[in-house]
Amino acid sequence: MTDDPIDLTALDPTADGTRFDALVGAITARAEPLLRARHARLNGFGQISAWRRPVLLLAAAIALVAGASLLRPRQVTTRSETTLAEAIGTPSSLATWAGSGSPPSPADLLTTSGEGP
Amino acid sequence: MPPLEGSTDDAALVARARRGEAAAFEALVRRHYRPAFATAMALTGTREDAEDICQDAFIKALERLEDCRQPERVGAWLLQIVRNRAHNHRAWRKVRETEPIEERDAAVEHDPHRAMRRDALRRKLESALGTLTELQRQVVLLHDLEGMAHKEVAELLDISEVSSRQHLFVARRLLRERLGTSTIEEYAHD
Repeated sequence: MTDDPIDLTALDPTADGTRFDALVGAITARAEPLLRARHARLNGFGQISAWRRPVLLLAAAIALVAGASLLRPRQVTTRSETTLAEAIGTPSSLATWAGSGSPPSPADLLTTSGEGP
Repeated sequence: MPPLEGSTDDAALVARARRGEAAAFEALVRRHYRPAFATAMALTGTREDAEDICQDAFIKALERLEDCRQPERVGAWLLQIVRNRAHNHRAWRKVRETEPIEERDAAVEHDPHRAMRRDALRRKLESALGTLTELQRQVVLLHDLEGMAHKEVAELLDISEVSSRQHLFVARRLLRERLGTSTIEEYAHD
């Protein structure tokens, strides 16, 4: 018994070119709105993607500047204690005398007035 | 014939179809129509149903193109969709099998006698194929119509290569018995 292939070309959908084109055409016609929707969706995302890189670069630059300013060591300003007497313009020696409760010596008076040694 | 067909691999065509390129989708349809049709034909038994299933399957595939995880194997993925839709279609047909099936033949051959002869042969073939089991039909159509090797048929149908050969042998023998020698000879010279 022979086992040659059975000729099934009568069932071949591509054998008749015109008919096959019509079959493909029917499918692509139904696919058209779906393909259009895909294209449109992709274009929407495309717009976002186009802006994504510059926006990310800008955000990275801002983060870099902010980070650098946060990490920079602060300048420590050492300020001496200012007494109330100094704040209101009274010489510190006078304030000391006032606080000690004893009268100043003549030499202290001369020093304070600028005529001392 | 569109320029894309045959010149671009499946993965590239899938990527382009995902972006909505009509030419890429059409190339995929043209490239995979025959195996899709052979599978649908094997499962439904009639050309009209097979064509409907193929159309639905390609549209469904386009809708779910992102689900195709191996675009280089889009053919196998598509045939799975065809099988699913064919099974659904058969269930649907059982419900309304009393309704007459409208004969649709859009294309008109230039030679009407040849067209009639061919149509008669096609009907005989469909009838003979209808007497085979589903698996025998799938094997003989994928092998003898689509031209797949046993290895491909076996992979597609999840059977061994030996089993594919056995089913093909039996299917051919049964088809010869059903069709008769005269039909096969007439067919061969048509």
